[in-house]
Amino acid sequence: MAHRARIAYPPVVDIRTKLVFALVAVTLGSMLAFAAVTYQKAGEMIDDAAAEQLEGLAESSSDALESIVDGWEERVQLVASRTQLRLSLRDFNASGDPAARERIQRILDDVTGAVQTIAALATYARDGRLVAQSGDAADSILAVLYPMSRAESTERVRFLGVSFTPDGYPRVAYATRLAIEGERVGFLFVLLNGQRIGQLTADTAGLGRTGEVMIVMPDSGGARTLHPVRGSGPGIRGDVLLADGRDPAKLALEGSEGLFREDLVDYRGRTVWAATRYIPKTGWGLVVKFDEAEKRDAVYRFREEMVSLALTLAGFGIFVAVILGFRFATPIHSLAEVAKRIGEGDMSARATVKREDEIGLLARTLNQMADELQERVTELHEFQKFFEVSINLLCIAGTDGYFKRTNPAFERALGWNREKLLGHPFLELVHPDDLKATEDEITKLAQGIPTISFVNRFRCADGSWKWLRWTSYPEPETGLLYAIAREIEGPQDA
Amino acid sequence: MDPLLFLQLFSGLIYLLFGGDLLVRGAVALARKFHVPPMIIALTIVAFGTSLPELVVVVQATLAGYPGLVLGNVVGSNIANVLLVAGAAAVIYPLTYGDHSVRRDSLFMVATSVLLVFLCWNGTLDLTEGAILLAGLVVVNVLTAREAARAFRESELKAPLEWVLGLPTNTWVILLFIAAGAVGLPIGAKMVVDASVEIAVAWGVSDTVVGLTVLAIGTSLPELATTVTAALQKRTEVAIGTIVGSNMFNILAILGVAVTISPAPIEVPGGFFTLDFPVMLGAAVVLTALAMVKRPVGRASGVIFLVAYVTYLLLLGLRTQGIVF
Repeated sequence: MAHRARIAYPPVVDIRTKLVFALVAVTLGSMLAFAAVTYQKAGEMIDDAAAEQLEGLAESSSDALESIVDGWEERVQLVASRTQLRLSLRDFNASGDPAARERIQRILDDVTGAVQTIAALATYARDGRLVAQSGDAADSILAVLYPMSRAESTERVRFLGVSFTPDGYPRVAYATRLAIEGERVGFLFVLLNGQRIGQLTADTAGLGRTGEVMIVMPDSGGARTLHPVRGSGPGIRGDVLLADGRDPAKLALEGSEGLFREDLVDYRGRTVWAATRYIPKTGWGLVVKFDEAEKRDAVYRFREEMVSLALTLAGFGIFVAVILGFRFATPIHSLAEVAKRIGEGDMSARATVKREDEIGLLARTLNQMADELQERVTELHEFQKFFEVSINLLCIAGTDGYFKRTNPAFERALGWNREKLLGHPFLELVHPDDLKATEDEITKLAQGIPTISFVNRFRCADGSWKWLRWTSYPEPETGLLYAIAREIEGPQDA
Repeated sequence: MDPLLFLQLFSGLIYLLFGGDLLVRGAVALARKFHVPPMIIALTIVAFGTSLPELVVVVQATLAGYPGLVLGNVVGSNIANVLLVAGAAAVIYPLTYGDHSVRRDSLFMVATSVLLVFLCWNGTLDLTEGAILLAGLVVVNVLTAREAARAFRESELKAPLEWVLGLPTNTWVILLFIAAGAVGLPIGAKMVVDASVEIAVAWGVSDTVVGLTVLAIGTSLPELATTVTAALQKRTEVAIGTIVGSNMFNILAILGVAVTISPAPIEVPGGFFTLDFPVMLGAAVVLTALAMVKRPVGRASGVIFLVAYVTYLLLLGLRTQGIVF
């Protein structure tokens, strides 16, 4: 396949591809280094922001919860401060008057009817008898609460505990002493609806997909929330099973307040970050938390964005490199083409690349070289002609005893072809009687002394002998002899 | 709307092109190292390798659950190839027909397009229909194999594999090329598919519409660049042959593969029958008719093609807004 030779595969990786690899490596490398640093910094910043957010939410939630609790106490005090209630209770204590009981019952019914927050009220006489009750509280609850309030009765409003409706909604129970001018007349029990707790914890704004605000209270099993936990259905009380490890609910109930970021596991067994508060008036704990995984999500998303950006930019790196590569490779290819044509003997080939950069310089130099070469070739051609047409015998010989080059006159005069002349030591052709003198002459030439006129005999192809008179110039650095010989009739001519 | 998405799409296309190029060069160099004849190399590695970018995108999009992207891309590309690429090139310099095989191939293209519409008629493309498309690919390849071999021999005489500049000889460099190509192609495909889907979400349109427009124009960009460059150098005789071949390949191979590997049948939106299929068929028929009467696609036709393309895009936009069709 002769045309196979035309398939010019550049033997190495082409400039375009090299540029692409280099640019992609630089872009990806620098972007990834940048990303690594930013990732680290951004991770810290996101961590700090998350911590601040948790702290802020814990603070505002605990403030809100405390104000809810204060509001409940105020409600209780407001009921307890009703003068008619206390006066009627004193009358009842004194006489057991059914009319007084009627009045008390009316007052209680008025209150439960008008104030939604109050679920139930009950009034006990000084001796502990139940005087009147209103609202939907079950007797059993009151029965539980009564001894608790008896245990220690003070002027102050006392928080007794939490009960849950069958639907799971919390109710908070309070007791307070009823007195007139320092005289104890009985007790008031108030059961308040705790739905505001649900409202407080239902708002998960700023807590992402997994975060939540939890209000927990001690329970026989450890702790429980006063509201449905996030993800469970509405109205369902979340029983919080404390995790084995460090549970934020446990920390909050123990009274540890602050921000916890390490080794914290919540009731679902997830690693979380949490801020905790303790509510002393009720003995509850407040927990604001979110999953560490979700917080890390932001960082992962950020890292993905960075990698995607790096890849995108590297893509443009490829684009730029390919264009640059073509811009450089195309003129170089055409220069190589020109050099190849000159090498193959086409002296008219010239580069047409017009550029002001190094490639342009290369093109101009190549053209200059071609000009120079063309001149030299012409010169060479002229001297070649002299060499070929000369009737004198011209040769280049080595001091090793071989002809390196002979002109056609040599073959014509002696009758030997070029192979014979170049392939054998020329001393084989020298007449035996002239051998010694010729050897001496060559020794002198080897020392750099030119031969002006030296005569010897050479054997012709037909067996005859020809007298030749030699003029030789040695070139010591190459060991070559440039010699001209002329045929003469005999030694007398010398 | 994040402009970065378009950069990502464009960048993904570059990865695909360069990854495909590297992989082909690596494979060709490897084959040459094992003294595989150039003819075999050209008809296998080069023929398949140059289609690899599209195929990788198809696999990525289908497996990621966006087969509509592929359907939209195939139909949109076929429309863009004729109306945008041929149109733009013809405006610069009239497109002529290289040899008689172009006329036969353009008839094949019309037949293939009709086959696609026929298969879509029931509203879905299922596994059987995908197999029919792939079978069509085999038939067309068998019918044109001898021709391809002859064309290769001629092309080898004229310009011997000149486009594969820089074939590596060092084994490690060859492996680097193949590895870089094998990494670059899926990265590019993922970038293209992700960006397309995100553009669809940002515009509030289906992935099919993005396939018909953004992705179709994006994947036609290389053809547009090479054809326009050829037109500027007044070498347009291969342009129509390339477009016709690409359109056939899109339907038979690209869509064939997508339908075959798709876990569920691909839904064909109803709007395709009122706008996109008619435009695709119309463009194919007009191009074939011009080939039949041996009329070069001149400047006037080029302008008409471009106007038709812009009109098509506008109608598509109106359909997306629910105004027409």
